[in-house]
Amino acid sequence: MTDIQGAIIRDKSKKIKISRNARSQEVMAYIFIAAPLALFLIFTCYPVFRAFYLSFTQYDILTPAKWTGLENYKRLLHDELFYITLKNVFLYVLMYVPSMIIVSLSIAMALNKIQYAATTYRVIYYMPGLTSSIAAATVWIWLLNPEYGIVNQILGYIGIVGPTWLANSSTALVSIVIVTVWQGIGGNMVIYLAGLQGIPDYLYESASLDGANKLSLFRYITWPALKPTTFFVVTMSMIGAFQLFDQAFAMTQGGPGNATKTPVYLIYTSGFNELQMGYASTMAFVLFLIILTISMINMKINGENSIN
Amino acid sequence: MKKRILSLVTVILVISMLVALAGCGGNTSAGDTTSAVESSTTTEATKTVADSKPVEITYWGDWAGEGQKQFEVMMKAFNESQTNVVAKYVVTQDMITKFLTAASSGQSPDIMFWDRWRTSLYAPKGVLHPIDEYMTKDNVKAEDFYTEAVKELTYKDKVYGLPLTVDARALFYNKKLFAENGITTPPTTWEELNEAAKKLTVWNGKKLERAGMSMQDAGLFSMWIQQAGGSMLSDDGTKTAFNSEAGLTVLNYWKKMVMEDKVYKVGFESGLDKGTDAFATGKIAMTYSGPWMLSTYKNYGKDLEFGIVPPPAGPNGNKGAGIGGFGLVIPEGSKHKAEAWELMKWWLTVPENAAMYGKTSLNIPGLKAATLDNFYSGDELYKPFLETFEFAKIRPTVSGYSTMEEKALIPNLQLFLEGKQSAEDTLKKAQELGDKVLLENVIK
Amino acid sequence: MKLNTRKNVIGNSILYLILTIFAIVMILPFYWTILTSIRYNEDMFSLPIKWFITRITFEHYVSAFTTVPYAKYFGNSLFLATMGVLTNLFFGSLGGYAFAKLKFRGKNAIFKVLLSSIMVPGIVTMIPQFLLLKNFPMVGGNNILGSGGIGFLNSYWAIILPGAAGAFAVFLMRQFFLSLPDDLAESARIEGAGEFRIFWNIYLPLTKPALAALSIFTFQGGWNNFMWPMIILSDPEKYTIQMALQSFSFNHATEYGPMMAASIVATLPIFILFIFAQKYFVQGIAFAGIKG
Repeated sequence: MTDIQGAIIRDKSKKIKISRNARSQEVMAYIFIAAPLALFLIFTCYPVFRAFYLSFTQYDILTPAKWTGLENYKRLLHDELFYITLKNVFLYVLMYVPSMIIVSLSIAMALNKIQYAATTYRVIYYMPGLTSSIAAATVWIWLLNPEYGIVNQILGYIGIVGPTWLANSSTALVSIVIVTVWQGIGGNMVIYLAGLQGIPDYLYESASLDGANKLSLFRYITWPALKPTTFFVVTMSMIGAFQLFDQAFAMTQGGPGNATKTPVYLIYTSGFNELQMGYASTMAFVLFLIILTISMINMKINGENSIN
Repeated sequence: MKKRILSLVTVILVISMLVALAGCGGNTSAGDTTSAVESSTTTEATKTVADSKPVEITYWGDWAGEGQKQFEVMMKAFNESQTNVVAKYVVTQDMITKFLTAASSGQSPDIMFWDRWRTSLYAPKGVLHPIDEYMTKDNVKAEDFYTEAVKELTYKDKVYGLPLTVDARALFYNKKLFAENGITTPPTTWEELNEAAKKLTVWNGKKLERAGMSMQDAGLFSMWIQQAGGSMLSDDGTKTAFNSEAGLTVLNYWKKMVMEDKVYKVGFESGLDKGTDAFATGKIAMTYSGPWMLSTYKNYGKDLEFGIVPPPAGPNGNKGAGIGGFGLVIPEGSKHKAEAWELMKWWLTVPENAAMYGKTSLNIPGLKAATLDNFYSGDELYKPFLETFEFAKIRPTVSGYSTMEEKALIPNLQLFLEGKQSAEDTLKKAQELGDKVLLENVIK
Repeated sequence: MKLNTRKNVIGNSILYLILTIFAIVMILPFYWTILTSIRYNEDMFSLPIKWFITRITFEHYVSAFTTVPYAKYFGNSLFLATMGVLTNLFFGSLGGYAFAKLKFRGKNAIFKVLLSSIMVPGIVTMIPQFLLLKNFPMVGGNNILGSGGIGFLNSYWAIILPGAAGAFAVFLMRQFFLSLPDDLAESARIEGAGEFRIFWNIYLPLTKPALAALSIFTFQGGWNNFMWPMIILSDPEKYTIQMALQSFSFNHATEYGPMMAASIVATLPIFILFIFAQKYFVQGIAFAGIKG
């Protein structure tokens, strides 16, 4: 921006050309986003608005929706199960997102550094993302079995009586965090690996010549350069984490004692098992507002707006 | 500039067109014609079944693998038995979701494999077709089937399907372990169950080596409470009734088993029901299970010798078990209801055919006459189930019942089994939430 | 200097050790999947769990693929997943570039709306989306008001179109374009290059690692997509691999052998694509790697 302004001031003869440029840029920008935007409006926006409308109705999918005004929202206010699931999912997000960033970034940096067998390691670390989710859930339940699982066997060697993990309402959620981080590492590692390629080598070289140590290289070069990447990973992980469902369902069916029930679990069962799609939509929109608010805060903290 | 925009638009258009052509061009139109043909033949077909060429009907189910092969055997036998109808089985995973969308878009199957307890939720929505007319016409009597199972397929005095299979939980016990521990007769009362479980349990320090009795499934509460002489819901089905003397008796007994006598450890089987099995590998000496496990134990449990007895009776001699299973229903959206009924009648009301399916799939048929077959009545593994059916009850046919169990009761029972709340609190909390859930799920 | 090298060797060894321990954890479930797929049924149930086996069988592979017209479903899935990759790479990078590098009114607002759409849990928009596709005007026998026919149902359009330019793709590409310097474009503009050429010739080649990552994600997403094709498609000719292989379960029991065999084979295309694409993640680190 400042470059252009400077140019305008310096050279009046270029002014006309640049402002024409700005206009054509705008036209081109709209053309560039036309297709994604059109598809988005038709296939995402419209259904979202439709679902929003349904949140004010009684709708069982099989017969036409009946308008009930704020009835569903009132019911939601007194739905203690919904509050429990919100609490669960908040706890989950707080544990999941930071561990995901730390683990996937560390692995990406380590894999970016090693010279031998790097391909093999990259493939191996991506494997969890490829493993069928049923297989993954099955094996993890075994690994975490209180009596026969490897995890507790190892803990046993160092004299610790391991918890009953998935079978205990205090540790079940932590177990789900472990498994979902394990499953998500591959994808985020790939994004970070791609992000690391965008950092020009000369930055590191000149800083090294100035005597910077590894920690300050990370702090002053890698981390700031990865800011857009991290923003992406944080945002997507968070949105995904708030919508946790599959893994919790596969491993604990929401139990024990509601400890791993999530809002989307409730939305799913209300909509498809109880045929209360209207109320399910209501829960979905309240969840949406929560995710939206937190994403906004995340944008503020990460200074996302200032990038433009 | 304009030229560039133009060329860009062209590029985008061309790409979209390519995608379009490659993707779907031919397919969409093909789909249209078939559906048009179908709908035009429908009306005629229903009128004149006999003469024209056979009507094709689709049978949906969500059983894959071996279950699919067993269904296909029946389809083949049916198709060979007559010339008017050709039935085809289509595996439909997540069948309920697919059915919900199909019902709203005219793509319903003609006949459907049906988890019977869902009837109370779906029949009021008008998506299932009542079969009373057909039954009267062809003189099919509801009394020929297990009464409880037909009751589960009935809503407001109309019958919406016929039972295909019946099942119940009975007590599976490991014969070898019983002999090793000097137990000669399998338990018939709670007291004997407790005694046997204590003898069969093996602890190695803090590690449970073998559990005497599986106490994993809190969802079996509904069966335990019948044995204690109680019931889950009030008679009119609008309120829960388990916060009672009987409910407390059950929880006290569970407490004795798990916490005092330590015949089980919560989480012991976690993961062992998937891909491996604690009962098959002798890590659990007794467990409640159903006929569906017979084929699995036959296939996988090479060293397992086991017996089955009806569920032991409670302190006052009450017997209790839950009866479940599958049926066949005809969706309202079916275009060939009469032909679908032909299949249902052939399969479910003719004892030989019902027994044929039962034998190939190792299920117990819902038609009583079919269970007279020596395959069932003469088999020591099936007989206990037949005895259990004598007193087994279906779950209440109230639309919110299973939701109530899932949301209100089971989580609280799980906390109880972990020792995190008292029996009284558990029942009280479950009752409060349970009553609310029942109310929210009343069909208006 | 010598001390430095030794320190490096030790450091590297520790790094490799840690990476290897982690790698075992990462691969264990996959290893178990393979093991189950070649295990005899009689050996299936055992406690403690056996991590090594002495005899193998391929019967589960045979039974997994004899009941299903595997080649056809494989082809259908490959087609759908490839379409998803092509459209998302093109539209995603085009849109992402516009949001990152071009100036236009309403940019931030439009972007935020786009992003927020993925915050609504998909299970409640599923039914409205389904009804929209069914009632889409002028296709599949529908009239201009969208009634009379089946719309986009039972056609691949219904699977390709809604996901052709996902917010995920636009967002991911936007972030990568953001991290590239602006002055490349400024100088090109001053030289009179058109916007599309700046995007296509200057910026796009620099995002190869991101494009590689996006290809993997969209391919995997399309390949593993199960629920949506299942709802949309009713003609068995058009079924996808996931619809056929989703589960081998019935009557409270699951056949683990065939299920795992099927899931191994269904994973292969993504596996191959990943091996092919991952080499783009190391381009240009020739110098960064040595410094350590």
